Amino acid sequence: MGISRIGRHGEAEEPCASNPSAQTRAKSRDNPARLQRILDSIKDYAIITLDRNGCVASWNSGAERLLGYTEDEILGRPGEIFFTPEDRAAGAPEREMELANEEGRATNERWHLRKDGSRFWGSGLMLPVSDGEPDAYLKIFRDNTEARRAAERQELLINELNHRVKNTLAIVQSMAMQTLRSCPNTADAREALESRLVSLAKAHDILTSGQWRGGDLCELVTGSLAAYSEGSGAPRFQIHGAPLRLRPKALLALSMAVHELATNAMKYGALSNESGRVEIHWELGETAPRRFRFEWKERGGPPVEPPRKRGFGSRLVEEGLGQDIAADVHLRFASQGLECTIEAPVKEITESGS
Amino acid sequence: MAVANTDLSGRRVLVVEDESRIAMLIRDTLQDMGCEVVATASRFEDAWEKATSLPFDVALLDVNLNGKPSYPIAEALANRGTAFVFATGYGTSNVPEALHSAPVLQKPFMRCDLERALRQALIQD
Repeated sequence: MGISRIGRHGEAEEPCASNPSAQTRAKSRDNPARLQRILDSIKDYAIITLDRNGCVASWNSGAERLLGYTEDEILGRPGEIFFTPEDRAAGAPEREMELANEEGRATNERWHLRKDGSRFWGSGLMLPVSDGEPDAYLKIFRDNTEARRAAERQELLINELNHRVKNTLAIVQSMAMQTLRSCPNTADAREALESRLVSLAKAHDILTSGQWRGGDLCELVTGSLAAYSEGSGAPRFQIHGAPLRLRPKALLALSMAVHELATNAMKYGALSNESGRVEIHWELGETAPRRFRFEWKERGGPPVEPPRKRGFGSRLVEEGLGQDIAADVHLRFASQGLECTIEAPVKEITESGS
Repeated sequence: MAVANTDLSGRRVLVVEDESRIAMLIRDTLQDMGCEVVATASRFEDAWEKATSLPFDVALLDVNLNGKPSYPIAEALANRGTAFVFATGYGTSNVPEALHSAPVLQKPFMRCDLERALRQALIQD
């Protein structure tokens, strides 16, 4: 077969001057040493031949580099030696040879075993060698572990993302059902549901910016309350607390609590008039077992009366925090203003648990 | 069909779910259906404790409890012949083979899905 090249202007050129004559070509085919030199220079690929019984018949230096066996060690030994025990038990080596015979090629995508017992993901092919004896099969593959690991990570991430989306949809479903159930009219339900969803979305934003590993309580509190501070003269909120990195679960739970407390204050409490304010304070206890303590104290609002029936908001705060972060929640409808204390084990709250 | 006729009213249910808002919805829905919620657990240890000590007819098991699979609890229930339903946002591919016959409730779910899954579990039981 002559080699033609396409020239710069697209016309076929004559075979190049160095094109070997028929005689040279025949010589090179018969020159095993030259072929071996070529094969051995391919360092990234294992190029192996197997005989009819699947025993190693030749071994290039790429194979030695990849699998750890020298040619002397491996020649004549069964090629299944670098298959994993699981694949050997499942008959993968035999199936690969059968497939190569039947289909003319068999893909070789699997974990392989090095001499030292470690594993790598080999990607390549097995082909039958025509009239081949002692070389009945040719096997070519390379180490593709990194790509394989990346694919596995991606699959894991997609699975995890799917789980989170489904879980979030179930949370939204729950909030919608409960809000509809507890609100007397559609307008109230609509407003309550919208604000709960927006609050959930904001908490997700904080988590996303922290790559879902957590987020800061201060950022959460100021962010959640920003909308309630607008337009009024005197500051509505006094916030005291050291920066505290929250676990995702604690961040979502506390964000829900702050939202419900603020909404309630806006409707009935200290944020419902012009002069009321809210004191917010949190701290980590020093003595073991260490507890996280969060206080919400309303002052200057209209006189407080305990609600006639427990609403979904207080249920979310009390039951929700109890379940999500093992918190003890106390809601006190003191006449001078609503007070809420949340206490939880520190390990439920912070990433390091300390 | 027999599944449709199994009466759920008065059935005692253990709810194992790590997300409080979903647990609230499940509890309310079960109560609307006439079931009695004997307890709710959101963590593996608590769920294990309740599943092995409380009397109930059927358990609703969230597959993933804060990253910990609930399969050991399901196995314990299966061994003593107590009915259970898996609830999950994942597909069913992760459920161990020995537990494949258990009904799986995909989150989010409708009330009729929950009813059907509970009936199926109670029939198998």
